[in-house]
Amino acid sequence: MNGHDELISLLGAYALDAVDDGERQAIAEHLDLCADCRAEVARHLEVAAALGTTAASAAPDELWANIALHLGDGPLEAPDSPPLPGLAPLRPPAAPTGATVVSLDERRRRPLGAILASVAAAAAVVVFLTVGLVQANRQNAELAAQNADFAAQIAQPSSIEDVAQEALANPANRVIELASDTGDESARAVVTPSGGGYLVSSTLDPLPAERTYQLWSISGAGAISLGVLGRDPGTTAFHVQGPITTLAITAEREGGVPSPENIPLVTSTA
Amino acid sequence: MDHRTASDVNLVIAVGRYDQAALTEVYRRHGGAIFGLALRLLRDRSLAEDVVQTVIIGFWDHPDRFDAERGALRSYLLAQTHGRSVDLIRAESARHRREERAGRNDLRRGDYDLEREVVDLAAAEHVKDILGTLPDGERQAIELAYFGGHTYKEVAVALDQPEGTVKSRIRSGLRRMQTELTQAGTEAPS
Repeated sequence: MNGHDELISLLGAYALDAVDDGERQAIAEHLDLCADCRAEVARHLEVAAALGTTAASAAPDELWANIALHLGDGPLEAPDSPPLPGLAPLRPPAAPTGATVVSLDERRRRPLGAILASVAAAAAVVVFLTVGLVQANRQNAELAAQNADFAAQIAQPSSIEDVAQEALANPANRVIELASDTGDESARAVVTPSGGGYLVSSTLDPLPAERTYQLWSISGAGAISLGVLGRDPGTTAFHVQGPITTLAITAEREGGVPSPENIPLVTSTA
Repeated sequence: MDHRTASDVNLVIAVGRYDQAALTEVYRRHGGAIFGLALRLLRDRSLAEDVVQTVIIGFWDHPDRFDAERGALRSYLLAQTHGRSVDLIRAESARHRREERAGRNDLRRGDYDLEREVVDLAAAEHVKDILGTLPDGERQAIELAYFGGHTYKEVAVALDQPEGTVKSRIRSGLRRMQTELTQAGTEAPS
C-alpha cells in the first residue's frame, strides 16, 4: 500500500469487504486518522446496507432462543413482533444452562460515556466543543475573538431571555430541537454562527433538590458537558466551538458530573 | 424507556447498560436483515444462523464498537454480517481449492445470477432499480464483490478487467447509488 490516493481508490472495495487482509489493515489504520476518508466509507457502508437489506428474510424461530442462551444473564423475552412482513413470532427461549452469569454490579461498570461517544450523530463531523460561557485558557486568537464576541453579546443590558429570543428569530442561527423517544418531552436550543448558544425552552419537569439537568454535546470524540442547567431549566446560555453534533440533556446529581451517568432524556435528531 | 418506540441510538445506549430488552428490540428490528444477508452470501442456513448469533452476541458484548459517525446501526450490523460471512466464504473457498488442487477459475461471468435474485425481492424494488441503472461494469463489479464475497482482484479476473478499473468502478458505482438513494430518500433503513 502506498500513498493517500491509493488508499482512497480502495475505499469502495473496502466498504464491500473486497480487499485483502493487508489492504484492510492499512485502510483501517488510515481511517483512524482521516475524517474525509472515514466519511466516505460511512457513505459507502450506507449503500452497502441498502444492498444488504434487499436480501432480508425471516430468521428461524429458534435462532433468537439460541442467541439468548449465550448472553449469560438468563433468557430474554422473545421478540413478539417480526421486523419483516411475514416473519413468524419467535417462540419463548429455553431456560439457560451453563450460562455465565455476570452480576448486576459488574454490568453497571460498562462506561456510559464510551457508549454515548459511539452513538454520536451519524452525519456529524468530529468537533471540539468548549464548556461553559468563557474558557480561560484560550490560545487561539480566532477563538479568543469568538469569545469576545460572545461575551459582548451577553454583556448587553437585555435579559438573557430577550437575547435568546432575538437569536431564535434570526434566520442565520440554527435552531435545534431535542425530543424524547416518546415525543412526550422536548427542548429547543439555538446556536449562533459564532458559537453562542441558548437553551430556549423545555418541557422537562422540575427535578428533586439533589438533582440537576445537564446539557451535553455528543460526538465521536465523546460526551462533553455544555453546562449544568439546574433542576428546573429556564433560558440558559452556553457556548460551542465548531459545528454541533448531537445535543442531549440528562438528569444528574446536583452540581453536575464530568461525564454522563444517565441515559439522555431528550436528544437532538441531527 | 419504551423499547418499541426508542431510537436505535438509545437502544445502543441501553445495551451498553446491559438492558436485555433493548437487545431483543434490536434483534426484532434488524434480525431479519442480518439473517437474510448471511443466507444470501453463504447459501447455507446453518452457517447463516451462526453468523447472526456471532454478530448479535458481539454487539451485546461490545456495543461501544458501534460508531454512529460511521453509519446507522443497521448498516453497522450488516457490515459485521457481511464481513463475517465473507471470511467464511473465503475460508471455505480456500479449503476447496486446496482439496481439489484445481487451478481453474471458478468465478466466471454468468455463474452468479445475482440480478435475478435481487429482482425477486419486492421489498427492495427501489434499491434494485437504482442498481439496475448503473453502467454494467459498475453493477457487475459491485454485485460480484458484495453478494459474491470476492475481492476486487478476484472480480478483476472474473470480469477480465484491470484491477484499477474494478476498484474505480466499485467506488464510482457506490457513489452513484448513494446519490440516487439520497435523492429518493431511500437510504438504508435505520
